[in-house]
Amino acid sequence: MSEDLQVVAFCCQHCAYAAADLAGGLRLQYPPSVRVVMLPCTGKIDALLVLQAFESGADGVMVAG
Amino acid sequence: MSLTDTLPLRHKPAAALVVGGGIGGMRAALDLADAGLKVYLVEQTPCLGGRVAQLGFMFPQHDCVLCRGTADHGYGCTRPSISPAYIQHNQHPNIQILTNTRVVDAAGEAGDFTVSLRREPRYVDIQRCTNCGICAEVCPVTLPDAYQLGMTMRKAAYKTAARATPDAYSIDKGPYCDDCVKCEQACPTSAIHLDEQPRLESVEVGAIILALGYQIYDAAELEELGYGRYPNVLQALHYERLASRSGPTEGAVIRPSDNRQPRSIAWLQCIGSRDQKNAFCSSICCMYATKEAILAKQRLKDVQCSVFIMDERAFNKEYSAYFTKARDTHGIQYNRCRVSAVSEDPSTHDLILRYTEANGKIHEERFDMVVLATGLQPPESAGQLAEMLGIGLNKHGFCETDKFAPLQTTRPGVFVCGAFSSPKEIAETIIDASGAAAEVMRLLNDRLNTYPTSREWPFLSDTSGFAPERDVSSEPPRVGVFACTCGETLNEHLNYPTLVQQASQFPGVETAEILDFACFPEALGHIQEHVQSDRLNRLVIAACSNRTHESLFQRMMRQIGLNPYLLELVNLREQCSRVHEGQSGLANRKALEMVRLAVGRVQLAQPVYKKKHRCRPSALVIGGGLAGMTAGLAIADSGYDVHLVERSERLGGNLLDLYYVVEGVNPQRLLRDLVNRVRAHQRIEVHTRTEVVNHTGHLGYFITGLRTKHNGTGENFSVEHGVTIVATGAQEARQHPYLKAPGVITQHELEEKIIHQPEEIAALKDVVMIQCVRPENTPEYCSRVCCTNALKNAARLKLFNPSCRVTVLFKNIVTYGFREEYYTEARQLGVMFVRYTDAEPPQVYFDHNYDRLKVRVRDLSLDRWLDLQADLIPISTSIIPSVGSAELARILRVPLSSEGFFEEAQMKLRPMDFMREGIFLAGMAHYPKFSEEAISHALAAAARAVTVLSQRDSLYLGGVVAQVDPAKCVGCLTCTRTCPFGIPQVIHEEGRIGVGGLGGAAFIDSALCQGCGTCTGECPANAIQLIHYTDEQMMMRAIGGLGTWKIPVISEQ
Repeated sequence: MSEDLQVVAFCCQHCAYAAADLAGGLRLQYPPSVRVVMLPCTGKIDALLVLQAFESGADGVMVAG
Repeated sequence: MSLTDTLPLRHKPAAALVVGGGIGGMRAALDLADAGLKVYLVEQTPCLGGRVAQLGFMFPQHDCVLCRGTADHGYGCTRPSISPAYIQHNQHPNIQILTNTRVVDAAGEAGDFTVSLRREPRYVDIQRCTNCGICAEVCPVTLPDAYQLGMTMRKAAYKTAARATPDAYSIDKGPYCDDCVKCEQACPTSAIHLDEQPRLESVEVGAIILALGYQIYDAAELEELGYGRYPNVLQALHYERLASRSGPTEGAVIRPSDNRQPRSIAWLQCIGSRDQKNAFCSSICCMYATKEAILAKQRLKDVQCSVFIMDERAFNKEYSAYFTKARDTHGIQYNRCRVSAVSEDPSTHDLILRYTEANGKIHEERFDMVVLATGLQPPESAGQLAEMLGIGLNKHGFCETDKFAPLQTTRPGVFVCGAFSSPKEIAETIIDASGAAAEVMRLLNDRLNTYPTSREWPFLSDTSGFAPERDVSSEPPRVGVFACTCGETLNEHLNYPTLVQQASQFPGVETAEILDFACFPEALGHIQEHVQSDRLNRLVIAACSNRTHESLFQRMMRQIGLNPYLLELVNLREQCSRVHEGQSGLANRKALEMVRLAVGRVQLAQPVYKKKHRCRPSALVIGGGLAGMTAGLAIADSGYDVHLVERSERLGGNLLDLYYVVEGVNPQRLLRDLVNRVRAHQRIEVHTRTEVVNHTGHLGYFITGLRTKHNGTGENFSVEHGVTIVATGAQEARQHPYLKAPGVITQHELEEKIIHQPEEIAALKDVVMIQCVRPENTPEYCSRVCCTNALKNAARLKLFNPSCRVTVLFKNIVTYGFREEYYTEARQLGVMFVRYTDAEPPQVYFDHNYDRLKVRVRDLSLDRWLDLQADLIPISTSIIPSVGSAELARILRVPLSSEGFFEEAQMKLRPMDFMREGIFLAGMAHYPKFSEEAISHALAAAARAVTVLSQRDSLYLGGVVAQVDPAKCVGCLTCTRTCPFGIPQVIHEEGRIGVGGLGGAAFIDSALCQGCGTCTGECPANAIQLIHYTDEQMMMRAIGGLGTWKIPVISEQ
């Protein structure tokens, strides 16, 4: 069940996306259900984008920036 | 034939050397590089970043410094920092980074130096290092990690920090390395060469900038404080590392003796500062200790924080408010005393402080941890370097500079910035750095733009010589997928053959292949061949991070003749393979899904172009005071025209009334010199009695309406210019009830009297000065210059009449940096200092019994009220923004700070920029400043201006920007309110008709838009789309983009 979870993480390319990169550099482990989407700025986030992710079946949406 | 014709012609170097790769050196290098000069950036350690790279947070905003200060950040970010230009594959083409390098000699003269460099081996080829870390894994040698101040261990094969520039490992072949060559054998890319030798190189440069930084005072010198003996006595940088997320404890502050969370922490200020041996103030410790204490309060439950402090020196924008917040909101205790000794309870390792309270009582208190706020010392290499370069050092061992030439050393052509010239914080280092760059631009004005660069593409480069771009608009998408194993390191967890096999089945994919090193030249050539043979028009490269490698592949695209935006990078390394170890099935599914999405998205990709603009080669400088004239001259000397606008009849501003300074040099000479040079300069047009009426346009092309007043009538005219500099200054507040009383004057008026009525001054017997007099209804902030001004006047009074009793009533004496010595001097002259508090401010009254003016103040050390007689009461009132600042801010569409001064783009890292591109800030319009600081700030603004002006005909703007579909716009103004840059406007013009024939629709100028996309997210009518991030590109509904896994779990092999 848990392997079908999908968490969509919308990340600002300047900070949160960089943090995700840093996690990779440091080999910090997290579940493969997290899927990172890069944004030019978290200001780009549209409520519709979040709702559409849920509508398409996402179990969680994270906005980080 | 003239003599010069007979000499062999030799090109003078269009290059500069920057010594020191901290933030100051990086900033200076970038400005020089942008002005078209070649820059050699020399750093003695293996990576850039300097001291700032070790800091987790900056006061007063507590931003993480790692991403902002060291390497990355792009254009268009709402919070841009230094530059993206230090990312390895995006490196500025004019900057050559020379790490592990020292300067050993500099021969020649200003404009033409030959500098010898000794380059120590790194033993790792940074072009081939992929950061896999295998060398460190196999290395048997373990050493204390200097980056973490010895609190953790590292290998001899190591990387200074997880994120470093250059982004590569290095081998520390110290005596502990036994040449086992395991690293060399294990390196999958053969990047390690242990037989590398040190080598001498020489470079020819026109100028040198010294950005050496500082070293931290060695607290072990003060044995009585127990540093080095008691485990729980730390120096501040230790604490900084402990509190940093990238520190040894990932941000958990613990006591070294028992790894327990401290319940009480004491900060001891002025360690190695303001004492007999170090007679200067280190300027930054009050603020950083307060930052550390606030962080402790925020993170450690019920911790008690005490700071033992002499004066609160919070002398910059928002710093006073930060202190107040620390005390009132966070409950940090400030004790006004200097702790003379620390002792330890050996059973618990708790620390016992004995100190004298304000009322003279001795008090003893126990703390779990003591942090020593260690001061700044001249950099270790200062003495040797100074001797080698032939530059002077001051008596404290810092670089000698002149008050009115604060960025010049004693050797022409050699400039200085940052803490090497005096203790200073990040923002001032950045100002100095750009300012020093302006000095170099002025010196090498005949060589600017020798190496032109453009920002036509996201990677900074000279794209001349690239193949013409192929028009792919009529071709169906033909996608090539290239999956990189990063030297067989990623396929440990991911099944590459399955990945490419399945990827090749995705619609639109023509070819899918595995590569070992996609970023190496051989692979780039291979991809290029495929593009040609398979007629590919879009590429997906499944490799590593966009942030490190996108620019490299974009450049490859452009070289092949494809638009760089017809590319998708899939971050398999940082965001899949390395973070999902041991979950191969799920990781493989995620990898394939990532590739599937990229294939889908790249098919929606359209070419993106920036628009080429011609930059008007002139600057508008608003304000004809010290900063305005300095900035104007620097720009004009660099070869660009300047319109200098001054509201009053005369140039000079506050400098007109500045007669002497504490350092002894004559400001009136500076004034005459500046005015003469400005008036005589061919490139400067002075407009006095002129004010700005309106201001439109964008970076590179502004049109400003000006109005000159003549005898009651006005003449309007307009000028076109590429950049604008705001240098409107500030003024002493002249309104306060006290000033109505006879005998009460401002410090400035006292200065006038000292100059014009010295006999009156010599007759004074009792003078009481009151500091920090704030006009009603004005915000509280430190005006920075008043303490030093009061001291300068007090010293004059004592000089005229040594028996005159001068008393200074103060809250905090803010004589930071080397100004501390004038405080010491004033005390030696017999000036008395009485501290007062906000709770009990001094009262000025007229004593009718004695027919005299008196001041009543509570003396905290005697714990009683004093009634001081006064012949004269000079008061230091707030320095307030110039009249009309708010109106000018409105015209320029730039913000003001809470104090009413102009607000810069970012307080620490962009102190001379506005958020609106092409407008820069100089001098007291930013915040009260000393003349040397105003000069540096003006030069910094000039440097930034010249980097724009020097782009001449190749200013590229636009690209990934927001676009409005007027037909959908309902004119609701949401975009105008939400844009962080204030760019959208609802305008009514031909063809711009909103929904239902609405008169007008939103307009976003592509030359101004920063591409953050905030408006697109907020627009309720969905009328705005961000290029390259359209709704369809974000969601990819057609292929079931986000949400559920479209690909089944790939079974483990």
